[in-house]
Amino acid sequence: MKKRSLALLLALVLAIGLTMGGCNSSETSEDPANSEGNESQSGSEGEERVLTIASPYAIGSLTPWISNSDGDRYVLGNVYEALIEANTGAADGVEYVPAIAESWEYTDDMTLVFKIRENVYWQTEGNDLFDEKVQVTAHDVKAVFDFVLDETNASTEWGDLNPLIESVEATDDFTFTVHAKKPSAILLNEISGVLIFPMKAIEEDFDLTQQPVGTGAFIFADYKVDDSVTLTPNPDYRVTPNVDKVVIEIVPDKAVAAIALQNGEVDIVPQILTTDLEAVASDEDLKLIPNSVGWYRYIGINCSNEIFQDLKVRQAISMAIDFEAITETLFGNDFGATLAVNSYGGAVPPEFEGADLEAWKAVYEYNPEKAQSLLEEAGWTKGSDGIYEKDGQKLSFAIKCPTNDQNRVKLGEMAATYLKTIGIDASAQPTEWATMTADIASGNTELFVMGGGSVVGGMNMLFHSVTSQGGSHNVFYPDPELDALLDEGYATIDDDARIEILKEAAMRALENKVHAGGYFEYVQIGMNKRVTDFEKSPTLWYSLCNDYRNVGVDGE
Amino acid sequence: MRIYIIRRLLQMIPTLLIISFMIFGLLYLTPGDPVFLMLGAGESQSISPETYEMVRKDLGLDQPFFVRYLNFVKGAVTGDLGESYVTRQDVFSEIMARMPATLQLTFCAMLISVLVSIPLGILAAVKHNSIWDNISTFLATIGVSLPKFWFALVLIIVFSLKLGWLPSKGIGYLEEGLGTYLSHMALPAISLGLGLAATQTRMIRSSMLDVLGQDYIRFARSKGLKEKIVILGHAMKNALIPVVTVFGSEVGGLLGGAVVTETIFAWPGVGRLIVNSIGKRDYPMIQGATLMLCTLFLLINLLVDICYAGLNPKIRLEKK
Amino acid sequence: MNNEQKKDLPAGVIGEEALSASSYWKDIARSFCKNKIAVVGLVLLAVIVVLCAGAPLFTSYDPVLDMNPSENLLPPGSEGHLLGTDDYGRDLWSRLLYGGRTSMLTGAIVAIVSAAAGVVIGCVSGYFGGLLDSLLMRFTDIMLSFPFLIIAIAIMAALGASQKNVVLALAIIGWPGFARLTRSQVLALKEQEYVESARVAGFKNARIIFNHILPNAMGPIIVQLTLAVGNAILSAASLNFLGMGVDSTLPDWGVMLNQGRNYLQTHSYLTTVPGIAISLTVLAMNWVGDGLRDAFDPRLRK
Repeated sequence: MKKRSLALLLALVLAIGLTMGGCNSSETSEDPANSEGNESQSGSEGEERVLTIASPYAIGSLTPWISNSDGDRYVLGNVYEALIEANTGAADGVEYVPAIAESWEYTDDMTLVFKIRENVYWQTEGNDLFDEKVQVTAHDVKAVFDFVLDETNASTEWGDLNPLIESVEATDDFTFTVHAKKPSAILLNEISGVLIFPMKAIEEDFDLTQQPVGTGAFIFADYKVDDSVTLTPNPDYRVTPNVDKVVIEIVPDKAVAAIALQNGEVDIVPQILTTDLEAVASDEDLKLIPNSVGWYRYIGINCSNEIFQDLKVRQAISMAIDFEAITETLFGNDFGATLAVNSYGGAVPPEFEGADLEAWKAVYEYNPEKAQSLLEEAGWTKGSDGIYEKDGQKLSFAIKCPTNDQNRVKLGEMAATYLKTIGIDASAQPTEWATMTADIASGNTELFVMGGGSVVGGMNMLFHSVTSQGGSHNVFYPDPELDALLDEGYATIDDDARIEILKEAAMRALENKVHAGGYFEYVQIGMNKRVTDFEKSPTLWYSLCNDYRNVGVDGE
Repeated sequence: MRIYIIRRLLQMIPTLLIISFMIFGLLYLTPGDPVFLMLGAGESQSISPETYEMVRKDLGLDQPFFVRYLNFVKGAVTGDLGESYVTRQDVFSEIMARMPATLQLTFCAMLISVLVSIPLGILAAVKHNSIWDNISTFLATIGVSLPKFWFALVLIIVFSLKLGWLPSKGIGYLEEGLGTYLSHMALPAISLGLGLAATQTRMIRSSMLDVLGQDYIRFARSKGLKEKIVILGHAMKNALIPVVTVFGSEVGGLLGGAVVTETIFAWPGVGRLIVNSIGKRDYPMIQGATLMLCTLFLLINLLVDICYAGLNPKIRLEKK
Repeated sequence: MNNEQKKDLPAGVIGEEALSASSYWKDIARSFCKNKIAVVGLVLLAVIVVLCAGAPLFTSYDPVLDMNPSENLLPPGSEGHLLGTDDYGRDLWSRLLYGGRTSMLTGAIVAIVSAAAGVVIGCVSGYFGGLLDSLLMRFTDIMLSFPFLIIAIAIMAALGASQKNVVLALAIIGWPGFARLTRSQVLALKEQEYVESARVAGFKNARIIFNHILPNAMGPIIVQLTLAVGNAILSAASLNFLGMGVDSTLPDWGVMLNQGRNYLQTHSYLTTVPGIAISLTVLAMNWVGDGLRDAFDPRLRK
C-alpha cells in the first residue's frame, strides 16, 4: 500500500511539474472560480494621475547612443532630450522645435550654430550619479557629439553623422557649433536623433543602460522585465508634467492592446490594427488619431532578375494589379476615416517634399488587357496551361510579404491573385521578418512587399543604387541619372529648387516601375478621450512633456 | 536505482554537447543577419557599410564558425552563457529574470489540466460509450482542433471585454495582492491548461480502458473489492504510464513553447524571450535559452523514466 | 505494417491469437461495425473526403481566382454564397472544399509518417533496452527539446518552400512524441507473462514485437495518431505563416483560420467555419480510432 501511494505521489509531483514555481496549490485551485469583483482598471483610485501606454515592442537596449527598437525610444525619449526635436504634428510636414537648444541658425551652408538653453539640468532623483543640480552646457553637448562621432564607441548614430559632420565645437558655455562636411538638407534631422547624456557616467563607469539619467521631463523609476516601465516627473525640469506617473506596458499582441484600450486598462495604443478600428471608433470614450505622415507600402521588383530587367514586363505587372481595389478592400470603412491614400506607385508621402499625387495619378493605369499585350510585345506567349512562357521558361515568381504586418500580406496575396487572372503564375509567400530583410538585402527575391522610407531623405533609402543597400528596400535598379538627381536634391538647401529636383526623381522612379505600385497607410493611434494635449503632436517618439506639448490625463 | 540516475546524469553531458552543436549549426543555416537587425536597419533606417563592419566585429561575428562554437562551449562549461547582442546583458540572468513567470504559468496550467483531465478521462473510461464518454471525446477534439490563439482570444473577448471580470493582459505580482495575482493568472492558465487537458483526457481514457480489461482488475473485482478502490487503487496507477510520458513531452514544450499564450496575454516569460531573440537573431540568447531549457527537459524526462519504475515495479530501469 | 502482421499471424499460436488470420480480421471488422459511434465516424469521414475530393462538383466558384473585393465579408447565408465570403470577397464554401484537399492530405500523411517512424524507434528502444535504448532516447530527447521555431526556420532555409517540405518538416518534428509513447508501452508490456513465454518458446524478436507487444500497445498510439492529424493541420498553417508553405493565396483550413484571426470580434465565422471543419474531421477520426482500438482489444471484443 505504501509503495503504491509513493508511486502515485511521484507521478503527481511530476504532473504538477517540479514545484519550482512560486504559487502553491491552495491558491491556484481557486483560480478559475476567483473571477468576481476584479477591477480591470488598476490605479484609477485616488488622486494619482496615471497615463498608461501599451507598447508592442520589447525593451531591447536602453543605451542612449544605441538606437534599437521603437519601444526603447518610447522610454528614452522621455528621459533624454536631443538638441532639437522633429514635431511631426506640424501642419506642413516636419517642423523642428527647440529642446535643449533654444534656437539655431545656419551662418553659412556649412556651419550650424545652436544656442543652448540656460536652464537645463541633469536629473538628480532616482540615481546615484548626480547628488546635486548640475547644469548642462555646450561643453557637455560637444562631449556627446565627440563620443558618437568616435567610431570605436560603436554608436549607431556614427554611420549617419560621420558622412555629414566635420567637427563640433563649444564656442562658449551656451553656444554649440557644427561644421558640416558638405551642404545637406538632412543634417538637422540627423542631429535631432542624438540624445544628450552625461559623459560623467562614462568616466565613472556608471551603467546608464540599467539606470538612464538624462535631462528630460521624466525619471526612469522602474522596469519590470518584459512587463512595464514606470516613469515619474522630474522636479528639476523646466515644465511641470501634467501627470504623476507614466506607465509603458509591453503588450506584444496588437489585437489585445486594442481590447485593453476598450476596457480602459490603457490610455494610448500607438497602432490599432485595421480590423479593430471599427470597434475603437464606435466606442464613445475613445478616439482614433491618424499618424501625421503616411507610411509608404509598396510592391518592389527586383531588377537584378533577368525577367524583370525588361521595362515592359514591369509595366505589365503594374498594370495588371488593381491598386485602387486593393486599397479600398484593405482600408475602406464606414466610420469616415482615411486609412490609406493610393499613390499610384509614387514613393514620397503627401506631407513631404517631392510628393505630387496629381501627376502620379495621371500616369497610372489599371488595364489587364494592355498588360497582356505588353507581355506579348516583350516576347511572352501563353502556354497550353494558360501561363505565359518565353524560351521554355514560365512567367512564374513569388511575392514575398512580411508576416508581421497583416495588411502587407494581404497586399501581396491580392496582387498575386490579380496576376494569376491574366496568366502569370504568381504566388504570395509570407516570410518571417528577419529572413525577409536578409533576402531583400542579398537580392534573394523576385517581387516583395515592403514599406518604409517615409522619412526625410527617404528616396535615398528606396531608390539610390548605393545608399539603398544598407536598408531593406533593395530593388537593384542601377540608374546613374536617378542617383545624380537624388544626390543633387538632398544637397540643395534652397527649398523650392530642392522640391523640384525631388519631384523629378520621384517621377523617374515611378515611370520606370521600380515599384509595381504602392499606397500610403495612415496608421491610427488609439487614445482614451481623457488624455489631453496628445493630439497636438501625436507621436510617442518624443517626450510627452516639453515646451510645445504637455500630455495629461483628465482627473475623474 | 542510484547508479541508474548517475548514469543518466552523465549521459546528459554528451547529449547537451550535441544539442549545443546542433543549435549552433541550425542558427548558422538560418537566414537573417543579427547585425542588420540589431541596428534596426530596414524600413526607415539604413546603415552604412562602415557601421555594419564595426558592429559585426564588435559582436565577434567576424570569427569563423568553430572558433565561435568553442568559445561558447568554453564559456558554458564555466557557467557563462555569454552576452545578448540586443541588450548587452548576461544571457543567464536575462533568462532567470523571466523564468519565474514561465514556471508559475506552467505550474498553474498543469494543475488545471490535471484537475480536468484525470476525472474526465476516468469517467469516460469507466462509463465507456456512455454520454460522458462522448462528451469527453467531443471536448478533447475541439481542444486539439482549434489553435491556441483562437482559444486565448475568445477567452479575452468573453471574460475581459464583454463581461469585464478579468484583466485582458499582463502579469500580476504577488506584492500587489493575491486578488490581482490570481485575476491576471486566470485566463492564461486556463487557456494553456485546457489545451493540455484535451490531449491528456484522451490519453487517460484510452489507457484506463486498456488497464480495466486486464486480468488482475477482473480478479480484484471478483474478489469483491469496492469499485472505487479497484479504479483508483489498482487501475489508475498502471494507466498513468502513457499519461506521464505524454506529460513529460508536453512540459518541455510548455517551458519554452508557451509562446502563443505568453504573447497574447503579454506574459513576461521565457517563450516570448526566445521568440523575440529568434526574431532579432540574437544568437547568444537563443543558444543560452535553448541549452537551459533542454537541460530542464532532460531532467524532467529522467523523472518520467523513474516514474515508470515507481508506477510499475515490473519495469526494470536497467538491463543487465 | 498491417500486412506483415497478417502474414505472420498464423504461426503465432499463443492464447487468443490462435485463430486463423482471416477470421482474426473478420472478427475485428465485425466488432468495429457493431460500434455505432465508430461507424458514424467512418461515414462522416467518408462524406468529408467525398466533398473535398469532388470539390468542383459542389461549387461553381474558383477558390482563388474568383476574388470579388466589392462583395467581401458577406455573412453566411448570403445570396449565392452559402457560407458567405472572406475578406477578399472569395466564396468561403468553395475555399473550404478545396482547402480540405491540402489540409486532410497533409494532416494524414504527417500523422502516419511520424507515427510509423516513432513506433519503430520506440519499439526497438523499449524492447532491446541497453545502449541502443540510451542512444535512441537521448536522440529523441534532443529532438523533443528543440524550439519548434528554430527547427522550422532552419529546415525551411535548407530545403526551400514547398508543400512536400512542409510534410517532411512536420514529420521530423512529430516522430519523437510517438517514439517515447511507444517505448513506455513496450516497457510495460514486455514483462507480461505471455511475452515472456513467447520468448521462452524461442520466437524471433521481430515477431514478438509485432505480434505480441504492438497489438496490445496500440490504444494510446491510435489516440495520439488521431490527435496528431489536427495538430498537423494547424502546424502546417504556422509553417506557412513562416514562409515555408507554397502559396498563401491557395486555400487551406489552417491558413484560413490564421487569416480569420483578426476578424474574431467582427466576423467570427471566418474562424468558426474552418475551425468546425477541422474539428469534425478530427472528431470523426477519433471515433474511428476509438472503434479500432476497441476492436483490437481482445478483452473488449467479446
